[in-house]
Amino acid sequence: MNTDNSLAQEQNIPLASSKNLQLFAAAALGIVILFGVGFAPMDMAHNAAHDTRHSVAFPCH
Amino acid sequence: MYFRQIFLSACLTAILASIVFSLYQFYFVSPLIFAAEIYEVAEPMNTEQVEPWAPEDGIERSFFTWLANFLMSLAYSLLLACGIVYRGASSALKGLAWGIAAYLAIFMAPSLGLPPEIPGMDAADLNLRQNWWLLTVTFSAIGLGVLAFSPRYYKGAGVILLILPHLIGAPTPELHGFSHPDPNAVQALTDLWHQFVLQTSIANALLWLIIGPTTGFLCQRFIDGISPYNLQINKG
Repeated sequence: MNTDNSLAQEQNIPLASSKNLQLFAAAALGIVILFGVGFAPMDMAHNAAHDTRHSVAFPCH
Repeated sequence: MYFRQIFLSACLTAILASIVFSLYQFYFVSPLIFAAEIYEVAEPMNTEQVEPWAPEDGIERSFFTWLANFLMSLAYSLLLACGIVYRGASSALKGLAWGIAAYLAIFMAPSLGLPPEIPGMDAADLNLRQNWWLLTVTFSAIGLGVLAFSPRYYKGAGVILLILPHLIGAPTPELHGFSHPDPNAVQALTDLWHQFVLQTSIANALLWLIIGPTTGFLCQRFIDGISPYNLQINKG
């Protein structure tokens, strides 16, 4: 029992930091995608996402 | 493991949200954009300039709009899922609360200073507006987070963060409204704009009412079950 508990405790520390790291990575991916859809200044990105940008009130034009 | 589960949950949410949002947009929002574009005064173009690619009106344009809606919903759902999972156990109800907060921070707060625009409207410099939009959304999101989760004596900071972007003030154009030379066109555009503000408010509320609870439900279903012990088995 004792060995199990200490094993779990040892594992919890790297797992918790790994959880936060993964959450951070997922949030960063979300921000990159959002920038591409809503803010990328290239004409192609603007034209493809034009109606979406207007519909969700992103500054456009 | 968390990353994969969050990404898959966000994909499922984005498929559902983008389909419903696109349908509403197709019937109630896009027609207003198309109607306003008729009045849009074409910018004089240098003859040597090549017209940049744009999707053809019709199915192609609708497809790219759906694609953009999907990617945007995916991004929003990823961010929401990270917030929900970081805070602990998830549920559809918690997701609903996060969705309402996101609607307030991402749609309502910037719209107070920069109302939704239809094509052909006079507006301040694009970079200034984008910077103010980012500032407002960031401050409002952090402000709501502080109000919801911080100890009582810090909550005043949340209120300050919510108000600050509006004290700074949104960038405004020198002339407000439409520069179209024909007064009848200006009247028509103003009517279209009023409808557009109403319809985008409804469409975005719909978007967040789907993204919020769906993300919360899927996080509960696919992520809350992950215990360190399960992770160990999967790794092994």
